[in-house]
Amino acid sequence: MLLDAQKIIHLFRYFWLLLAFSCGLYILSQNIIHSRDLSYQLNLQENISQNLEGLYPVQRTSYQADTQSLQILAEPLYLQAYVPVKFKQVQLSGHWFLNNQILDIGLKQKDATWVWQKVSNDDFVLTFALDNAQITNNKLEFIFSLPNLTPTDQVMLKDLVITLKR
Amino acid sequence: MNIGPIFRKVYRDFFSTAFFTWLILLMIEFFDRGSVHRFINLEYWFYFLLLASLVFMFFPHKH
Repeated sequence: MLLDAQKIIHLFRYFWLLLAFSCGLYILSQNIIHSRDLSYQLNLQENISQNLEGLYPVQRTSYQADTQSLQILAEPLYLQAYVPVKFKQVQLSGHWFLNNQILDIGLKQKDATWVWQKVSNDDFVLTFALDNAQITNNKLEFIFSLPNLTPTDQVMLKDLVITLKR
Repeated sequence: MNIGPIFRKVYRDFFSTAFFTWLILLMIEFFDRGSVHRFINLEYWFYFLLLASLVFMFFPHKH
């Protein structure tokens, strides 16, 4: 049976609608968070990824391919993490080579102040409550401060994981 | 069977579907920032619609 013109048009019409519907379903499936924890691993080579933006300004960092770590040239540095649904806490964990530098990490609050926590070891785990955290455009903002950093100091970030917890 | 009018109608359906899907996704993105744009680049989609509409304008059609 040969297809006539109307059938061909209708066939393609349903195909385009199926594509559009699949697109919507894909978006919906990506935005349903069923797990209690959501983790983002910072890609040291890329400044912007799907869920994280930073560390920025980019000019204050330099990726070292030989050690696969990010050298901190100046401070402060900022990081934004995407928050798709409501969480209670955020945990930052990772590994720095601080070389006796003081590192303070802050989380921006609703009143535009920062809640600070000090990193005392190269391997660290910090937890911030999100009750009063400022979430702008579904993003949290962190600040990394090294107040005594000089141009000759070698401070390297080896690994950073942000975990959102319900 | 004349392919020209069929192709034109199919292309018009494709463009309409793409346009309204983009519009709906854009509204969702305005409502919940990041929910769409993290996965689908709506800006590139808009540029594609622009080019697609230009191609459609230059289709020969009978008056």
